[in-house]
Amino acid sequence: MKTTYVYFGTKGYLYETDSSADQTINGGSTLTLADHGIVPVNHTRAVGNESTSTDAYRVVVKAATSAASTRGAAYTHDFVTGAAFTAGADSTATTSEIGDITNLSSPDAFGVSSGIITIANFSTDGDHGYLIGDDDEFWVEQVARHDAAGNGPSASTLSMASCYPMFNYMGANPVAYAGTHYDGTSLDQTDLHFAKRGGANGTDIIRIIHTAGAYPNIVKTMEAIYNSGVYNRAVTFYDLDTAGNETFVGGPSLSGNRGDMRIYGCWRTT
Amino acid sequence: MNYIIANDVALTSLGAADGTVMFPTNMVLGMDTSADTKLRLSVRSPLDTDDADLINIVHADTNTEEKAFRNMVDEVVSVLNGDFAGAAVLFDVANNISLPGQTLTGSTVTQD
Repeated sequence: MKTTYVYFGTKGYLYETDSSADQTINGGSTLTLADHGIVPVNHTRAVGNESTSTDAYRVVVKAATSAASTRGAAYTHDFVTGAAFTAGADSTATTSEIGDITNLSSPDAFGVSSGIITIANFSTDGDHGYLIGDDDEFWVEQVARHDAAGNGPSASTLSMASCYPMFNYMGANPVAYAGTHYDGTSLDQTDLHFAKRGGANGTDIIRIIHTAGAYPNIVKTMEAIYNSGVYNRAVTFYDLDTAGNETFVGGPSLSGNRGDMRIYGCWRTT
Repeated sequence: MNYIIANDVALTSLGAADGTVMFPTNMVLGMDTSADTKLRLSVRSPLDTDDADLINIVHADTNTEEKAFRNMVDEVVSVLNGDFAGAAVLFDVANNISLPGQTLTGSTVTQD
């Protein structure tokens, strides 16, 4: 009996709307593999300190309000539009304006302890810090295969990757997801269930964060993989490598094109 | 239906527990990473159908050879879906048979 096999790499993803103007992400709680697909390794913020894997994920913030003395002077351009922050109404880079999107790209912008990301306050670091305001929006987006403890099967191993025979595919469950990507794209979540790889009762869940409304395409894509007749290799649904290269299945046509079905997050929850 | 054999012991040790498994391909539960140098193939155990036998296949370190795990997945799938009559060998320490990208040393079979 032949069957097709489907392969999933890992791309961690978190979206949050701040509710208390605290300097931490995820409300001060640790990021988890189950909920976010990524657990950042402990990191002491310092210029040039990418050795603790800060080059494997990015932290992005979108300003909900306009406020002076908010954004470190090192951040000069909007991450999405590319426009200079000085091009705004006040012509001051350190003043956030509503909708400004800042990639806190410096390893000096935040620290990590036990999976909790704390952003340096602007008052502490006027170059790389950021004063969080109430209702600011955050993203933590994995951009390369990550080697922190918690991402792989053991400490310091690379992010998990999984492969299942399609005869163990048990269905796709649409899950409410209140979030948008930093480029403004509305997002949805679909959980793909497979018979548990350990043999016990229950299912393994591959969580997919995708463009809103793409659930039918997710279902059709799984059907297309099942009936693809590809038996000499596994079909990649999504993958992200250590260099940051992504592989997309490309929707029901299995085109491999990102634009045919973009994936924003993909991880196994258990 | 294809039947697959995996064996991690020498000829003189055949028959010992945690040495050899034979399974039909419809009992495959999945594959994942068990280390940066190991693919773990989970197969429903005939000894406890709520548990899995684990077949660990050693390959090159994915930190230095990015596609080592991904390629090993394809090699395993190719064997599981192979065109053959009877049984196929995934790997066999006794007869020095391995997958193209596999290192036999450290590759193991663990029965539930």
